[in-house]
Amino acid sequence: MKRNKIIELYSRILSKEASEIEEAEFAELLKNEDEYFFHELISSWWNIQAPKSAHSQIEKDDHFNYILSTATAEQMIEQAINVSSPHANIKKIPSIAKWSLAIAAVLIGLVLSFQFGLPGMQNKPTDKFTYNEIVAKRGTKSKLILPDGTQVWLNSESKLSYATNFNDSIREVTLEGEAYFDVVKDKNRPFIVKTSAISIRVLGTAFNVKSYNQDPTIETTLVRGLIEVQKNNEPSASKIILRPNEKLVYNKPEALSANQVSGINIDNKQSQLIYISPISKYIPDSARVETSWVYGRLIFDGDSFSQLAEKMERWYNIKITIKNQHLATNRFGGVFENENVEEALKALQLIAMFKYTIHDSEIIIE
Amino acid sequence: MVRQAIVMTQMKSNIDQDFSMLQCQVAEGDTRAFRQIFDALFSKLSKFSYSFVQSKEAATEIVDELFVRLWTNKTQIIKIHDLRVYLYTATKNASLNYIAKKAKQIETEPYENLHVQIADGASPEQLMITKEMLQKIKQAVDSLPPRCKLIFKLVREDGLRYSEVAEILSLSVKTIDAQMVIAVSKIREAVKATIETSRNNIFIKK
Repeated sequence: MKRNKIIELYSRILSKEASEIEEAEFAELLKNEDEYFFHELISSWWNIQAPKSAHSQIEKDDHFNYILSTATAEQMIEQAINVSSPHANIKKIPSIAKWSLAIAAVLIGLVLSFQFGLPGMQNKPTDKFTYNEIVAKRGTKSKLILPDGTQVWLNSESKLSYATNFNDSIREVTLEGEAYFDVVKDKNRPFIVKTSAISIRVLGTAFNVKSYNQDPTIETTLVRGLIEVQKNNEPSASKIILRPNEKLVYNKPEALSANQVSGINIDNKQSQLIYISPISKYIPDSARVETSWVYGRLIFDGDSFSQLAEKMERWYNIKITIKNQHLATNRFGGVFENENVEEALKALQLIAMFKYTIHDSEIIIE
Repeated sequence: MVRQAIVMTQMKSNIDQDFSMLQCQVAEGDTRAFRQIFDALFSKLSKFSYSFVQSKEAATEIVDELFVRLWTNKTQIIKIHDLRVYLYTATKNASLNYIAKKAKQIETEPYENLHVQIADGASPEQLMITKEMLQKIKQAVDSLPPRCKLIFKLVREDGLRYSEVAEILSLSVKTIDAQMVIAVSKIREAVKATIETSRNNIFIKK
């Protein structure tokens, strides 16, 4: 479709002037991710409810009372002056009558202002909210549905909290750990996920957020829709818009400087505070490192043994100690689905030489 | 004046905006119904008048006067087929008369010398879009030619149908459609430009 044709269609869609055929054409067009992205942004702006009025309530009350009283006074005088001709022209009213008109207007205005007294002094609910908190412990995962219908999968050792007035104007949740969100669309109430350093604002979309305290990064991966990311301590700074199949990585400053001190070689891009990397759109959610956990799969892709051990600790609710430093830096790739800890360790033994011993819930690897 | 017949060109789908019920109540002298019509249109009509007369006082006076006449002749109100279009048209006519009287001549190019103010709308906090994007869009809309901007405002902010705007401004529906395409294409360009900038800005220095 040509660009002009697209805009023609689009302007009619926004103005709600499109025919059914044009709406169908447009739905087809939205399958293109870029078009969908533009539509989300522009329509979100288009549908902002313009401020209801340029006049304050008091101004409006004044004008309304003035209108009623002037009209009523005009009619009264019309009748009084010229009973036989009810359609007499107002402009012919003698000046003495104009005076009485003005006085009548003031009097009626006074009466009306009692009648229509100032509305809107409603008691606002107090600002004290209580918070709901949902925790998924180590080795467990949980799924919950928020009051607005949004579905949340909470990964092991994660905590999600939200105020009891969650549903009112802005839907805001606070996350520690990892969660996958499938947000119910609501143009008038943005959905916000707060983590320790960044906030993610969405309309309706599906995305994953990983923000464990002990991790050096905070990551968010967008599956579909549109999200906007902002640093908590710089609310005025430019926000970053993430498109589908992109992952945003925020390097915690303390982790960045630690890397520099220890001389770890990191490439230029990854040493940035924030960077965006594309993820393949041809892989299903269940097979992606970022989202597979929702489907009960623990995927690791080029992780070092120590990173993998950390993931396994959360996944199986165990403690893993790696005594061999050389082994800790070995890298692995693979998937655990239904395996228990021992099966998983045995599978790893096939590719790396190590022995393990289990004491209660602690595993020692050497 | 009130007997002016307006042909209704399109059935309204939006029940909130249907005044016929209220018109019947106003005809019987119901001030609450009259207040509802007033609340729905007073500010919009004042802003519409302001686009022409470019004086807040004059605009308010024109609209006040219009409502005074409406209430004085309330028994005739049921004869108006489309009250909204009627009131916008009456506001336009009164505003053009005001300018003509002031300039002591009839305006030949009524839509060339307009001052259309676009509403600021909600803060970016309420939105999916960024502050930068909001500014860029506002700039784009503000730089539209006057007539285009007026049409755009009536469609987006006042929620009027193309056919209604065409009728109020005595233009063809085709013209309204074409002007809206121009406005939307400028907005799209603004959004595109902001995204490019947002992309270039992400590599924030440590």
